[in-house]
Amino acid sequence: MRLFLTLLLAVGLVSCVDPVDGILLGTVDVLVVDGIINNLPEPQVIRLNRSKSDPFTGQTGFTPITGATIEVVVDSAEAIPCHETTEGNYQLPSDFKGKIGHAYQLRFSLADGTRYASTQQIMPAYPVPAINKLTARFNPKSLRTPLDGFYTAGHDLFVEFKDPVEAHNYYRWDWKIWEKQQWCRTCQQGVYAVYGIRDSLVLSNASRGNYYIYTEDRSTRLEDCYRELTPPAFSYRTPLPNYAYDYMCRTNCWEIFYSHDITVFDDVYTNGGLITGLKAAQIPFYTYNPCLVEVRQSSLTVDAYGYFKAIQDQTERTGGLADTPPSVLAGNVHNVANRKEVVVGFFSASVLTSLRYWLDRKDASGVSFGGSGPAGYGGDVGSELFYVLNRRQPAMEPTPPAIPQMVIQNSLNRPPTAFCLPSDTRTPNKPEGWRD
Amino acid sequence: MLRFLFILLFGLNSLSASAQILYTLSGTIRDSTSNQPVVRAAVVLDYDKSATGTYTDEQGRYSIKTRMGQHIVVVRSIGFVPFRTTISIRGNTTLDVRLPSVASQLEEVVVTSKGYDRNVRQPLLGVSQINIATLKKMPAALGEVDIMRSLQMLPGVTSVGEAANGVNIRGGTTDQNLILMDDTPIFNPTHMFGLFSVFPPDAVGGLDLYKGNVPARYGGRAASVLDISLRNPDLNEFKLSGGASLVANRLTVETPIIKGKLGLLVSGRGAFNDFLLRLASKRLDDIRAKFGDGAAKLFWRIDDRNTVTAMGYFSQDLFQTNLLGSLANVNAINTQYAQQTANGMVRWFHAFNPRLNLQTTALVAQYIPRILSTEDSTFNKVVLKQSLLQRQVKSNLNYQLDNQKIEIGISGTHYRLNPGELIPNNSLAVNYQRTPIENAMELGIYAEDEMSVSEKLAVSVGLRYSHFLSLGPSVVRRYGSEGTGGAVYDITNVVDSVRYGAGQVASQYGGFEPRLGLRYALGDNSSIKLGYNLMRQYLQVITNTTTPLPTSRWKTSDAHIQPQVSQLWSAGYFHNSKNNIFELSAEVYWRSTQHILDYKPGADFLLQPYPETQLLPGRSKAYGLEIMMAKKKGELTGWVNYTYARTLNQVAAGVDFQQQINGGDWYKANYDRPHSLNISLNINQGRHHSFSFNFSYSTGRPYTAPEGFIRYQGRTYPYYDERNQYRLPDYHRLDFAWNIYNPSMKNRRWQGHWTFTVYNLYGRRNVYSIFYRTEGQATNPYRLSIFAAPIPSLTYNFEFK
Repeated sequence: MRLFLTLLLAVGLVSCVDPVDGILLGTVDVLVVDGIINNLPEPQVIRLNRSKSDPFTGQTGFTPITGATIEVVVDSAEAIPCHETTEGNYQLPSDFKGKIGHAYQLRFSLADGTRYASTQQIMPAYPVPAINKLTARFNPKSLRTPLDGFYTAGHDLFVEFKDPVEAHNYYRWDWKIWEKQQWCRTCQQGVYAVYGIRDSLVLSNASRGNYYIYTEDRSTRLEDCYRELTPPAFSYRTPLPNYAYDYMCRTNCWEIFYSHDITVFDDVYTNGGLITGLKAAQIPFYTYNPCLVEVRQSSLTVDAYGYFKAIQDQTERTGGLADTPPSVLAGNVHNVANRKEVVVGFFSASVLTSLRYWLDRKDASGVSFGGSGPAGYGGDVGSELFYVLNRRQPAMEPTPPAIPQMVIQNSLNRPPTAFCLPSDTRTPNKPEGWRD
Repeated sequence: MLRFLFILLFGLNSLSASAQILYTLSGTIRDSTSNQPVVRAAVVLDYDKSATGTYTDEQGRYSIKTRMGQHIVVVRSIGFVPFRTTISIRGNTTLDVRLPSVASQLEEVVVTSKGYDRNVRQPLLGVSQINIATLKKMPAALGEVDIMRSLQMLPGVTSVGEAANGVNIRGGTTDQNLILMDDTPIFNPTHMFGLFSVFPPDAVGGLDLYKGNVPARYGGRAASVLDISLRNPDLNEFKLSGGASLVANRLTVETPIIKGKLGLLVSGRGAFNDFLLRLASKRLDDIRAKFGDGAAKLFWRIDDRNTVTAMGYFSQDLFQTNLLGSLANVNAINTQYAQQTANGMVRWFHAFNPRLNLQTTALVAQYIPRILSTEDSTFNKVVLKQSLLQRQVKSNLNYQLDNQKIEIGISGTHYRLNPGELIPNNSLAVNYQRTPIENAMELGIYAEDEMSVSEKLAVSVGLRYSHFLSLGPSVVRRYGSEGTGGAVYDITNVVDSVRYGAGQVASQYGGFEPRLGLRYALGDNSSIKLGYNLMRQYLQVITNTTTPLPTSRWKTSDAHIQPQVSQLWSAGYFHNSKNNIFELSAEVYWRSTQHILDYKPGADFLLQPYPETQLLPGRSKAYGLEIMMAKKKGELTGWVNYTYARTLNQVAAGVDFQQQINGGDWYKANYDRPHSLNISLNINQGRHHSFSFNFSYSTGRPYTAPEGFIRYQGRTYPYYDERNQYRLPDYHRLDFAWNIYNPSMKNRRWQGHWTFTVYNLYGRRNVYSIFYRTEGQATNPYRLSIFAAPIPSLTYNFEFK
């Protein structure tokens, strides 16, 4: 009797968290600055965007800001200009090296002439401690935010390091992982072609109507998807059916994933201590294959730490009984002419160290995220990672006796393999530390 | 259906009042020792039904007309033991009574109020004397009688939600209520983060809630006073009572040690059933919830003129849930919240004569909240501890004249506050840290005169002077731009530091606190009352959470944190129906508070030796209208009340937008809930059953929602601008309780009764908060409800006499 009532009690007492329909009419219109430069010999990028709500629909849009003139002032003496690489991304010259103990300040003016400046940030004047070691442990409930609303398995990565006693240190951890990728390209309503394609239109009164003939021409290289053309009306091919074919990689290829959560730490209680077992990363259990993890430990300025902590408190650490009510996320950049304008984002300088770890995932159990779809594990190699990125199983271009939707004449060895195109999330170069 | 019942019962009552033959009950009341007639003794008939009464004349004679049947007769007079009997009237009857004036004489003098109708005749405005027996019949969450939750059924008392660690009274924050248990302060009135209250229900004798005119003998908090007194042990009989419910088990024992002279009451309650929660569901694996509290009271009647009372109270809590955050920057796998309260009091009552008495009390109260973080692999617990110790001596002299009651008194309090101490125990990583201890003294002297100026006019005039000293050893910083009226306390602005030695006065504050009340009787049954109060508060909670955590930091006033000063103007109209069955009251109030504390964005008070750098001072205004109608007698009793109340704050501590909230405009306080409606009904079905319903409705509290989204570092984050611009959905809930007394219908020494309660009868998912969480790359809104389903529970209570 008592247990029954306790069960009833338990059902009621467990607090309920339900999603709510997004309801708000946004009125935001702010400039967002993202620039944390560090002391490593890697590209230092500063990003600007404007986040603005449409006054009629309330939806927020983000447009990268182009045409701005940006410079970083070192020690109030030297001004180093940045050049725009892609829209909204401004890069410091490749020979720039951030130095510890030096002061950096961001100054920029937009295309319309408005000038902004940040506070001066001093790159922490002591080297960030090296990570002594990383240990990984499989945890079925690792991920704070479940993937697709339900999947939480992953590996917790714990760092160990000795906190220097001489200074008050503020840390942040990011990670990136390389996973072996087998599928390099997906073509929608078309096929992948290594060489150029010539199309010729055939007008016909027959029942199938007009149609195109595609011929591969070996003289030029395309190395891209060739989209099927819609023939003019009275064609069995109008409208075009919806289909997609996936193509495997020709060379070795690695997919890169980045962390998104904010993990920060302040040594206020542990100054000088040996910090062990601090969870710095949660790597989702994407596939049963091993991956290479790089954990980046950065030492922040006190202002940058305060900023990231405020973001973490009001965006990730919510939903408790005694939350801190959120407030404006104004950073350290301000409009020179109008101090009341709120600019979001932070410019700071941090000292970085990193450590790579080979996560072999041999201690994992259960279903990986790549195998958690309705079709389970696909038969093709690399289909787990494919599912992670696309939420479906790969579909190769059909081979004889099956006929693909779009037929290319004079094409050898179909289906072709695709080029591994380097980008922010993909690389054909073997990452250092990768074990075959 | 309920309305029909209401009308039916009214009809029955009035029906029985008409068509009867009246007989006379008369007699003489005499003092049993001297045989002298007792003048102006109150003779009351049927106090529980229609309450007719009269006073005896100069010869001690009385005469009442009443109808045939069984009646309960009660005879009372100051200085005598009340006489009660049941008589059967079949014709004109004579009843002579001899009243003994011995033994409990002293208790009666302290407890009795002038006349039996407090509402109209007492000049004090806004005081609610709550009957603990009524409270025990009201539906309680999870079967445990909860004083804090029941208080919210009164007008003007609200909270931020179900898991609130205190109540908000007339626009004040939770720490602005002075909660006293037998004169000892209670700093945290709830167990398990707001689910239960700390007062042992079997030991509580009476509750007085002063929300309007607060008598001059109370000081130290800005909004209200909740004075709870534990009952005195019976000096003649051994009594045992207790109960068991799903949540807690209770036992109370009272016994005379020397019959008629010395008695002891011990009451304890313990809740250890959380292991059942873990058996019930894997989702509840991480919940630990244990609490216990106990009170002991000793009453010693030395002789006719002297009594000594001693009280001790102890309470302990341990709570673990993932709904409360963990201690940042300590690497822990789980976090527990523990708190401990230990209070003690000794009071000496001396009566010089029946009109003049002196009460002297010495008390100590200690509150220790802790956060325990368990480290990975070593399972070592790192403890963050706060401790607040209050020691107080006070004395007051009461002089009762014919038309006046004069009280003068003094009080001295010492505070010793340890704001935070980090104890690593066996940790390899965490270092020991502490914040400087705060020492302070608060002195008060007051005089109050309640007088009936004329038949119609009664006035209560009180004046209190309080003085506060912040004592060393301490280090006080001096900041630049002080003296410009808008001091900016920032670490970049420090000009100097001054060191004070032990016992040196670092800063002091003080002032008068007038307490005025006026009652003007418009007729026999109605009156208007006016009141004005000024109250000063020197000890407060600084927090930046929606509701203070049990571990939120307490702070005494110092050079940079001024005492809060609150002024309240109130006016009310009161009306009692004939026979005092119905009571109607309508009150309006306006409160203005200076030097309230709000916090800067990103404020962190933990182990912060200079909290003024995290705070922003401001001011608050609150106003409202409270209307209540109550039926106090009959088979159906209860009340309905409606309150319209607003609380707005304004913080404009500087020009920079980081020093203003909402640009310096008035903004809604976290607990601003404009409309509240409460209905509480109790239906006594004969001697064996009673049903009780509580219905509660209020507007949702404000919350801050994003004005849109921003894209930063590859994620979409919410962008917040102004605070508290939106409101949660409305809150309403219905509770039901069924009390079954003595089901075997026999009169025995051992009596038991069952209570079946359903909390949140129609299972409304009242929203406690709406929050946005950034998950992966997107931000999603969610709502949190605490009690999302009806919660039934069963409690068994027993009494052994």
